[in-house]
Amino acid sequence: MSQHILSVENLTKHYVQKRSFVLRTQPGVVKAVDGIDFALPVGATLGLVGESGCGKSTTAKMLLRLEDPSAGKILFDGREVQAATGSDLRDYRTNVQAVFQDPYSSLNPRMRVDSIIAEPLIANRQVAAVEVRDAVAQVMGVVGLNPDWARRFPHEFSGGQRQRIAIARALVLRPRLMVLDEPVSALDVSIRAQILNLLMDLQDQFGLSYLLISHDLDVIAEMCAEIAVMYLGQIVEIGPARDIVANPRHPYTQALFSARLPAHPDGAANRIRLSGEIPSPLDPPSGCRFRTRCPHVMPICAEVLPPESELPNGQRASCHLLSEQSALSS
Amino acid sequence: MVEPAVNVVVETPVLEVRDLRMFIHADRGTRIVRAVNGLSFSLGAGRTMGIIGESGSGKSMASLSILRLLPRGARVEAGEVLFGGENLLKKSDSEMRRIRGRHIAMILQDPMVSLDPLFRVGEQVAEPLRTHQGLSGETLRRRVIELLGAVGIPAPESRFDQYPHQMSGGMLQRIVGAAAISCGPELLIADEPTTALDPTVQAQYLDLLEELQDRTGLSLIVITHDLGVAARLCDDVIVMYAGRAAERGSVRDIFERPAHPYTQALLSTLPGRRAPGEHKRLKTIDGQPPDLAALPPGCPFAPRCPRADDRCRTETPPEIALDPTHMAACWYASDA
Ligand SMILES: Nc1ncnc2c1ncn2[C@@H]1O[C@H](COP(=O)(O)OP(=O)(O)OP(=O)(O)O)[C@@H](O)[C@H]1O
Ligand SMILES: Nc1ncnc2c1ncn2[C@@H]1O[C@H](COP(=O)(O)OP(=O)(O)OP(=O)(O)O)[C@@H](O)[C@H]1O
Ligand SMILES: [Mg+2]
Ligand SMILES: [Mg+2]
Repeated sequence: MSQHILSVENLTKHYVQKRSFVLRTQPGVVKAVDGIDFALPVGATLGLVGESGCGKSTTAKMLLRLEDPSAGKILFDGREVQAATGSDLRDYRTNVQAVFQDPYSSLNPRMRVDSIIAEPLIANRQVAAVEVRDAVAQVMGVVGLNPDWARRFPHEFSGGQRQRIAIARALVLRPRLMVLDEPVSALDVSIRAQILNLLMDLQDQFGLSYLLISHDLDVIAEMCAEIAVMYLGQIVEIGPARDIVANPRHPYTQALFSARLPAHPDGAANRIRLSGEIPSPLDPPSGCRFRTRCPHVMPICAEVLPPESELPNGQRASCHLLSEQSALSS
Repeated sequence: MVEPAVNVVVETPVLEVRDLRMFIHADRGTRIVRAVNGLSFSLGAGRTMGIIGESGSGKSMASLSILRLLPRGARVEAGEVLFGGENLLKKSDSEMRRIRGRHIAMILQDPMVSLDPLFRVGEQVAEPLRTHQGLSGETLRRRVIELLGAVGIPAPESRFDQYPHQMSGGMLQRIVGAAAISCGPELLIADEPTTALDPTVQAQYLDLLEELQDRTGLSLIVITHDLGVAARLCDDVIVMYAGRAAERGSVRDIFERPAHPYTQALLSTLPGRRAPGEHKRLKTIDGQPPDLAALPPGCPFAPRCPRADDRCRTETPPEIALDPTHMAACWYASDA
């Protein structure tokens, strides 16, 4: 068995857009995810962050087999996920659960909350009705939903309450890996803390692994051992969370972390403002994709794709500034 | 008539909400959920009011009541919503339709409630411009593309003809924002407008709102769980708990001199910026939020409040003014 529960190699998703004269769309390829590699150790949390539209949810959808990769591999326990069929596929669907960005559309409006939460349990395992009821009540308690609310419909809940229903539903199968796409952004600070504590407890007790997508860099710093930073379909920096938070090396990561808002009216604002055209995944810039907005752009950036430079701490970033430095120091 | 305990602004407010109360009939009327229980505030022209607080405390229901966009089974039971001096609760449906979109716009918490999955996003942003401003053809298309660019959608002309499912979560959120500001409203109510945005895009989006405010004098209500957004954007803040304002004040009052025990608890749960991997437990507020269909007598926060005594458990505290701009609904607010 591999020490990584999940790893992806050259994972790619291109959406082909056809030409239409009526709609004036040009033919093209949306390079939503463009050759990414990462590995998630068993029992750890990997944070996936990056600009809105950079391909995080698309990555999550491929991991959940909701979208087929255009290229590349996904390995779960060292076995290729794309090849899984029959009972292997069923196992994978039990072991890997998701919480999505929009709890509204992922909850069936005609089902009561207890049925929504029980559904994966009934679909995947043979369990007695009593056990189902107990499991649902238990998991509702765990996410801070009053078990008396079990017979209600999703529309009777507020945004944050619905998000907790989605989390309860993902937990009920006791998966080994959870793909969490903005799981707490709809919650107030106290409930957010409650859910994050719960996720950490489950990790300690059962060795659960998480891929956590979040725009809240405080949540990422709190939860993750490793962080991968994406920009326009590619990973530009990856490594130990501690080092990336303290000392981001890629200019995009630096800009991202500098834009965090302090929760105080006097908070210091050392924000690095990005100017320049925001590029589109339909037509990404040549060379380094960040160069159109990079404050440190150099002539080489338009011509050569920056190679990945690795620091002794395991932090890796793809930027010509770093390859220059390592060339100078060697 | 109930006057708000404190008048936050001196000039004539753009919006004044007085003692708003609404409930929802649930389970065929067997349960009455009291989602808003006497909310009052006023908002001056060009000012920004933040609404923060517990999940499920009635923030969305309060704003939907103001715009009369309530779900089935919901009814406003009492109160006044004065917009430019006129009570919106007394307007006909057709008058309300004209006011919405043109004078008051709202960004709903869930972008997919406002967007139709079967229509191209460009058309959906174009809709209010067509009905309220009579734009059409190439002018309309150019205006929409300009708006999509303004909210930071890359290559907006290539996005015009895409469907919602072809966009990322943060793009959808900004597209709904673009539609909301399209007709230059006087008041914008934004319910969790930046939850799907990363810090750099969020910062640019907030810049855009502020710039719009400077240019057009837009008044803004922002509902948010992100206290950083509230701190950055707001002049005044309301902290809601169980359908009421637990506390109201300037952004400084709330962040520097919180007087209500709920506000204090909320702020104390904010994680500090510590090094990753320290793996301490995050602070939470003990206890369960109250059931709005069976509110206990007294202060709704009493069952969770470290300071609660017998009076708190039996008598509902009124809004107690601490200074002209700051009030808290707590018997012990002025002891702090
Ligand atoms: N079905 C689709 N067809 C065409 N393009 C798509 C499709 N799904 C996603 N895309 C495009 O792929 C890119 C990446 O989208 P994705 O949803 O993965 O972004 P994200 O990183 O999750 O962003 P956010 O933080 O805003 O949620 C976007 O440009 C999006 O428009
Ligand atoms: N259709 C409905 N039927 C019954 N109860 C409802 C209905 N809609 C909302 N509620 C209840 O009304 C209360 C207020 O809901 P609201 O959506 O205003 O909360 P909120 O403060 O916006 O919360 P969040 O921050 O989670 O979005 C909640 O407790 C919710 O459970
Ligand atoms: Mg996404
Ligand atoms: Mg809400």
